[in-house]
Amino acid sequence: MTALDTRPETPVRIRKPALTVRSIVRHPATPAFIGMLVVWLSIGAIAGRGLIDTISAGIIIATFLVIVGIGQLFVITVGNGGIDLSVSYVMTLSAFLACQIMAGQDSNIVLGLVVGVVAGVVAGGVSAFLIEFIGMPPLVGTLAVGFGLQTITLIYSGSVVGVASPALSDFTTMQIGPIPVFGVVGVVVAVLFAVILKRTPYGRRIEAVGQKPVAAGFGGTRPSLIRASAYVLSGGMAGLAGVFLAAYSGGASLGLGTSYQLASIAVVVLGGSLIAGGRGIVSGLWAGAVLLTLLTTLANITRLSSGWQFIIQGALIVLVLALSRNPIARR
Amino acid sequence: MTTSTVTRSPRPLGSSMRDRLGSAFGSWFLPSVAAVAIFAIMVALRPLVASTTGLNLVLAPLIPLVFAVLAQMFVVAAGDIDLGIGSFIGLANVVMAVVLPTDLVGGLLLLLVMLAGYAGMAVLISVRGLPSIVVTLGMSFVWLGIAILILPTPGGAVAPELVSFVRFTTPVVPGVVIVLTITTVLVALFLNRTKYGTVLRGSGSNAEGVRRAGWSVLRAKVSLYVLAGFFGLLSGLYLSGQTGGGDPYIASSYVLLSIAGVIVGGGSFRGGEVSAVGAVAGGLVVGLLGALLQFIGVQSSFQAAAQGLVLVLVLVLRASVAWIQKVRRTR
Amino acid sequence: MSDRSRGDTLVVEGVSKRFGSTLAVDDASIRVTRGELIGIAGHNGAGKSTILKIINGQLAGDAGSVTVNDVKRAADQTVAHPEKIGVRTVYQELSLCASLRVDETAAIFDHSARGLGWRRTAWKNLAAVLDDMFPEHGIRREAKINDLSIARRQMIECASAFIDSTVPPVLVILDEPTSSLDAAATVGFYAYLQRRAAEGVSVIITTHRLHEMIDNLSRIYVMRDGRVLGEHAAATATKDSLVDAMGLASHEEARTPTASALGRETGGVARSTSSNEVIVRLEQSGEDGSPEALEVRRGEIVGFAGLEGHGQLTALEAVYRAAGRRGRAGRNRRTPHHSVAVTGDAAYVSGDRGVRGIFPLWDVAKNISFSSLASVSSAGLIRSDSESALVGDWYRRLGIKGTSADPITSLSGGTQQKALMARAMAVGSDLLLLEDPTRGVDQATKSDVYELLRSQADTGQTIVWYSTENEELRNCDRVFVFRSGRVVATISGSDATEDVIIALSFGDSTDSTHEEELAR
Repeated sequence: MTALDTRPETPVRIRKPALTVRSIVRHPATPAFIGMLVVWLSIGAIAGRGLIDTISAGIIIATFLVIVGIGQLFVITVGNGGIDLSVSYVMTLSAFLACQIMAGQDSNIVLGLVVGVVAGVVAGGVSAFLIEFIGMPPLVGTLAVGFGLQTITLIYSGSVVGVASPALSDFTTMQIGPIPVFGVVGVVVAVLFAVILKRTPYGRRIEAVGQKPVAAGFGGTRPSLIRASAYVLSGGMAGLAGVFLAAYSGGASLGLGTSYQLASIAVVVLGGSLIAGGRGIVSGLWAGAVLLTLLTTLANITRLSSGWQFIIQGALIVLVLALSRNPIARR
Repeated sequence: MTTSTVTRSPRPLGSSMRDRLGSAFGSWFLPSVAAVAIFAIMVALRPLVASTTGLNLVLAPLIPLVFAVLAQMFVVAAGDIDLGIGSFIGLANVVMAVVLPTDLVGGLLLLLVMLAGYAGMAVLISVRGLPSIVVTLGMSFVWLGIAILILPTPGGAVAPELVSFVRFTTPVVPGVVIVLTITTVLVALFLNRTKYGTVLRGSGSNAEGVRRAGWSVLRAKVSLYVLAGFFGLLSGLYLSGQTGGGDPYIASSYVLLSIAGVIVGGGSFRGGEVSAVGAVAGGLVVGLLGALLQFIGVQSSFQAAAQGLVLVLVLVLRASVAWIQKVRRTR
Repeated sequence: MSDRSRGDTLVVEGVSKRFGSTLAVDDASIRVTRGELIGIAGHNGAGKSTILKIINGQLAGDAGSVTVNDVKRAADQTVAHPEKIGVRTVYQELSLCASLRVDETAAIFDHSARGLGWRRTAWKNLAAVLDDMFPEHGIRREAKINDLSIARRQMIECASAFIDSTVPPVLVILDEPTSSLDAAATVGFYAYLQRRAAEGVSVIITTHRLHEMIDNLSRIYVMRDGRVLGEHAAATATKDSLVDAMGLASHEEARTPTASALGRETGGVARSTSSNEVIVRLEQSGEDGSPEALEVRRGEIVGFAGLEGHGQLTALEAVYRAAGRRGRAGRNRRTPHHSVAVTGDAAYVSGDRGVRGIFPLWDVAKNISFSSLASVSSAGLIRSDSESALVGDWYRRLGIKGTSADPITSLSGGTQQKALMARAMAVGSDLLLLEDPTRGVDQATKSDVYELLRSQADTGQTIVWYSTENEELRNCDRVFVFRSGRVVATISGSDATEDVIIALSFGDSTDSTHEEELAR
């Protein structure tokens, strides 16, 4: 019985088993990558367009979705019914703010980016306050903030004729050979946040709070602070995406962020992250974003009406959710 | 029996008085007062509002909203939130404006299928334990997509019979008042005076307790969602009759407004705590507030914010009341 | 009052149920004749709740059979609608809907209340029972459940188990039905049970209030470690005889302390003289109202004992919240009964592994390193070599089998518990708090845990340990026994036999006001 000191010689195998075919197949992000490949190849087959052209255009546009989606992923992963419905409104407002500051000049790029991100951070902070301290459900808190932002944007946009700085616009469309620079940015951002989520104490806490907030509390973290930080992060990311999107499309417009409300959630779900929180998969999110973008391309090529595009997007989410396994569900 | 008999100190008079007041008036009392107050302000500003024509003019646009609030109320009673109600009503409107006039049977079938869709969502949410927010959000895009497929740009013409049915009124009592009264009474009777209505409310409040008493919790959820769908269709019916045409986006603002209406009307996100009278009053408060703002010349862009702000304020107020009560109790 | 010739309402034969490595119910047999009131007594975790859930068909057993009203079923079959065979259950955690009115609540339970006037019928049926059971209940039919005191809610639950409904009650199972009732209501409640029993309704009650069983029931089954140890006629039973029976099995063990226990005892004495630094200070008002302080010193192992729900857990959690974090000093915390001050930081091992302990989506390594992330990180990044080293170290020290890449959910309960202890111990805090760490854990792991705690204490870590298994408290230096929220006795570990603790935790009186407070 007194085993503690007498069996130290037992070999203890530590850490990961090797990367096997099975572990790749079963990885939660795999379906998103497969879906991405299928859509990519079918675009080539149907439209006869160059595969390289398709993907390089695709990953540029997907990058906006990747940036917003990462914020959404952190909010969803932190659990407690977390969802951020204000991202689309944050994007639009930040786009207007940044465009007014940049005013078509390259000298104010940094300031424009900073103001756009700060606006998002403030919005996220307000959401976090409403949710964690007032006790509103995340849905209502973020939606209320979103509508507030929408009103601000409506009033404020009337007096603004800002244009994004040309340099930033060029940056979002620049290509070095066949490689789109902004697409690379998207990959870099995804890698960066994958590292933050999986290899920093902060990321571990995000996932832990999303799994069992009480257990995380007993393990020495403050669940409400961790959750609040996720909303702030999401706001900031949405702000950043808004500025970039305005630069890409030449200027801000009122409908700029609209489609990102559902899409940001869709890419999280498609990427194999758990909607109930506790497991975020950033690589899957990236693939999901490219998949959704290519799907739109495919729809445009085949002249699919926007109605079908909506249906496919909505049904895809519900379907993926209905089919996904919940690893905690078994008792 | 052993020592220490307990002398239960009689409850202080004040609190028992408050209890009696609370149960006599219920949660619907304050929103009703608020609705009347806002209406009184409007009458004070424009005395004509109090006439039959005036009432019809002011209240008619609120009827679809009130139905949407009632629909949301049933979902909130189940402890869920419906983000798809706006698109659902939009689809109903499109079906009534485009399909029904040409193909009566097909149109009715389509409306039935929509109801079945709500039942399906209930099953999915209940059986798979999915978050209602994401499922209904996904479905909202499906509804919207179908509506756009049927009617890409606003148009269509609602059958004149439908228009005259909706615009029905009497010289003495405005038709809208009759409709509102009958609806409120019927829903209130069902929820509070029928046994199954009680079971439905109970299932949202303590599903396990209701299950132990021998009721099917799944069936209760399906019933609530089907009722929500039914009132969504009614809302679409009135919108169609009033506008005479179809527009997929006609009810997109109803998502936040309906949630606001339920909450202002004394509903709670904990589930089970809803009141029909409260929800109708809440819907009127939210709608009349918009009309009042319009009266005093506030830009329409401010209105959404003002209505959202009311929701936030009510929730903040409730949170602080709960907090004060908690502090008092622990003291 | 029981007349066996009238036939049996319930026959339970050879029922067993295993949860993981614990045998929650072990070959239990129970018989209840028509119109009999029986009790099941036992200490925490004796298997009472489990066997009740098997009887009413909510939980599938592993073996044995259950016969209700001469209808026999295998114990591994569940029953979807026990109310249709006349079996009613009142659970400890309330099953009323907070948003409903009293008469509406009655109607949910009363399937016979239908048609127009269903609320009136339901209320009439419930009120008839309520008036009979608790003549001074003062419950109004239009009151909302949410606004009722917990005692009144319990009255409604108890009463609704005895309404006739469509299938009248045959067997009523009551789990701690009187925990929130005052003395007068309790008397009325049992008097009502007697009257219904005379009409042929059978009742099974579990309660920690032994005198209630002795005064009001006909027979009492005593359970311990999942086994039914025997039945006692209430007429001849005394509280002492029941307490004796509940703790009997540990009697012999306690007399022959193991070698390790002896070795520890001398060590414990030596340490308590060498260190005087107070780590935890617990203040409460004494019997006479004057403040008294309980202190836990560095390197000491202190156990919190008592019946479940008597304030041990509240006190333990308050100690955790009072401790400092990441270099910041802690602050004093108040509970309804205590003021708590802690010097230094603390780590917490949760006993309810599933809900409050493990992170089910992670492997064992991440579960272990979670509380020590700062120490395995450099430049903000978790270094996998440091993490592996830390995890490997604790794998060796605790003798955990398998690899650290196993999902935590694939481990047995005992191994999960070891991983949780590793998580807390890896912090290297001044104070280690354990919440029932050996619940549902096999004997070998238990011994490992005791050894480990002792070696941690020897390195100067202070350990406060809440346990529901009284026999293991012998491994503590001192034991605080809780009753009704307060520490009523402090005994040394060597005196902490099961008998002593049971006797102290039942005390002389059962004060219902305190329990009501606790239940809130």
